Amino acid sequence: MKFKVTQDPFLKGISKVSGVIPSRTPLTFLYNVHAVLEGNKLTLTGSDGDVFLITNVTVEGQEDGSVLVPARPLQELLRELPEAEIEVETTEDQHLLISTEKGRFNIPGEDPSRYPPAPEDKPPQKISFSPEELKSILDQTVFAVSHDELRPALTGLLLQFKTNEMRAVSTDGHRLVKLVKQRQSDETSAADDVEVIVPLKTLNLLQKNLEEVKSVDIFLATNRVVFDMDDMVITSKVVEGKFPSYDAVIPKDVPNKLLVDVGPLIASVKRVSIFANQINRLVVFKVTSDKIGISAEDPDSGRKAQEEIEATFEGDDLEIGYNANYLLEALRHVPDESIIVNLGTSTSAGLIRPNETKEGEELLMLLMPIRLQ
Amino acid sequence: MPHILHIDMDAFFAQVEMLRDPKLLGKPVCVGGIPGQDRSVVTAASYEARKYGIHAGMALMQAKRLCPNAIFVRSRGGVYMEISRRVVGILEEICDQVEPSSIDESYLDIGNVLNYWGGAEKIGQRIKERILQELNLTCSVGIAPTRTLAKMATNLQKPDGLTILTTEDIPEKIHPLPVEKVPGIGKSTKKTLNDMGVKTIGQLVNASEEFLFKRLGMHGKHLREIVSGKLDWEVTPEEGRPADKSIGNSRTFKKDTSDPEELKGYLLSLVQMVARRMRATKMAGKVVTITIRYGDFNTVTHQRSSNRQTQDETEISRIAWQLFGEQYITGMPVRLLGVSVSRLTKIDEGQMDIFDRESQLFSAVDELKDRFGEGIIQRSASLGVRVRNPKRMPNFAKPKRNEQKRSTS
Repeated sequence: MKFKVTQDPFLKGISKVSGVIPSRTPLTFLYNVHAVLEGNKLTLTGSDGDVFLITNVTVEGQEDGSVLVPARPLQELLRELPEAEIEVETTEDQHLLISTEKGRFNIPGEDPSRYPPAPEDKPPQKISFSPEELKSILDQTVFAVSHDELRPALTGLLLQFKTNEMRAVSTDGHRLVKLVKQRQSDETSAADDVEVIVPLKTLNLLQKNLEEVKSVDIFLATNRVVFDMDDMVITSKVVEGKFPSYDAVIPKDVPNKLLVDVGPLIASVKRVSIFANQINRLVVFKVTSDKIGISAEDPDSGRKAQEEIEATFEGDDLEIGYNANYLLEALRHVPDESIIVNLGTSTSAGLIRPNETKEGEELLMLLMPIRLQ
Repeated sequence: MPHILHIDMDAFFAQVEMLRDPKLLGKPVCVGGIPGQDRSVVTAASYEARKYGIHAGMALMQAKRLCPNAIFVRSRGGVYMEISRRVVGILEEICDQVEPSSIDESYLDIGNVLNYWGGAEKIGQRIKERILQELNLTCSVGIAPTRTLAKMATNLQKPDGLTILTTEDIPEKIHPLPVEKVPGIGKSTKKTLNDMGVKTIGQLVNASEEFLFKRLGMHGKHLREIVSGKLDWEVTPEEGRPADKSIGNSRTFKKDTSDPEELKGYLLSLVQMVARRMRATKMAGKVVTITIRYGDFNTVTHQRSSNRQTQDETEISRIAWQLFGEQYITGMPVRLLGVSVSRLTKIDEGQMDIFDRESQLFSAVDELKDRFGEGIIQRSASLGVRVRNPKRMPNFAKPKRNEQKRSTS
């Protein structure tokens, strides 16, 4: 393999691929990037065994070939090189030689045939997105995805595609986010009534890479999901298992209605929660017709805090406790300056919605309280 | 009177993996890692794999050589730990004297509850039934007058066995067995005994005390008393439950090391494992303990409290590293390092769960999944999995029955 390339596009490609490479793994060959040169197309692949990220870099090819080299030293070197043309070639004993005007760098590699092959064909179900749309979906939902390996089905984001809408649902058992977006049926292309649970790592990888791309096509199969974005393809395993029937746990017709500004609420909860119990992060909300009393207390240290903020509440006075971290995370992901919260009792789920919904979009966050003593 | 019950989960990790992935059913499955990728050993082998001579503790590559078709999966400690906890929970509902001796074994002193449940056999059956119904796992149970005999009874009939040994059964069922069947007799003791002409347990029981003492010291004398049922340890429910009292990991190195960088690396990786387990079990702790075993087996432990309940990896690392810095005798080769966190409390005390509260609204499938039978309903029907040995996993063959029962309850 032999090619010429300028530093910048090469670094960009290697950096994208590095995003999927695990920092610690017993499978040491996964520390490598797999590079294949065909003509002027250099294809770079990185993987953690479950997710593959493949990206192409245009180079001035001189001799086709492939190599498997550790990604980290390569990335670190490229980062330090000036933006100029570099020459890259492999030796017979699988070393990667990088030559610049004044320097020569040698990275020992491995036999490329050791690398696991990425699944190649694209599954049949295709859905197209604008990157902004997908990014906003992820921004509003990913935070509630579970990390709990004992509930595997919750460790990913459920994406459901129906004829005229798509739904994204995440939950960790303590909170749940449901986002429904209207979609023109021709937008969903070939996919109707399909669903997939996308694992957290893949979601994070997407969030990192969506900024720079112009289009996203999602291809769905029963065990695999492929995100095709410009010159980059992410192929991921899906989370197996059945996502719980989330609609059944969302209370219907909760009459009590609280209207509150998000900014002041976040600021107040942040201050008060400094005084909350370190473990359950309990902050108590005393809701009355025109205000919310926010308080916290840590019996271990004797610290206490209390604040009031303005709000409008239709319903009987109510005292309810939440984990401050869960509440703050939900509030930070509401795309509006004020929210409507439907509260039932002090032991039932609170439903948070933006005060003004975007057209064609319905966002609901459900938060379970902490039982008060 | 047989009143000590020993229970051993059949090929525990392998069984759990089969629950998660029905494609593994009836196949030779080795849990521990992927040969050629992981440099570790088999931590559990399914009974199908054992037919090829594969056993726990064997190097992965060797297992692969013995059975090239074996399916290798990585182990998931937190998951097994949680199921182990549930097994102990079931045992504790049947008898209050439960001593978990490892992740997949427990000893019970059922003396006090014999009459309540209607005898030893009924208790054994009940335990097996409940574990099968609630966790979809099979286990083997042995009931005998002492711990050692109970464990040997378990080993007489595996998997899915229930064996009761009375004092009268011992000459017939235990004495003809070779001495290495006694838990605690390893290769070298076996060789010494065999060299002395003691090949069977019967011969061991009948050997003269003096003779055994001369060749094996107190160990020899004790062995004879143990297999004769004269020496035993009590079942101590408080002991052996490190999972509840503390969460810890230790590691013996392949080669003793005194390299500070290497030791720091090991210590931090241990902290990572501990913190991961704490997160998985939703525990926070206050006291961090480190164990240093030097090359000469001299072992020291030191502990320090955090000023708050924590499960934070950085905080645990900080304390562990501080302790290590203060206690480690620089330059001494270290054989083993251990880190544990104790004074544990459950983290989300009072935090309500969406799905617990509404569990009645969920289909049986969801509930099964929650208990771990991930995809259990889909499996036999839609995936066309054949249960080669239905006796091993009876519930797989009839998930429908389970489904009905759950939804009506």
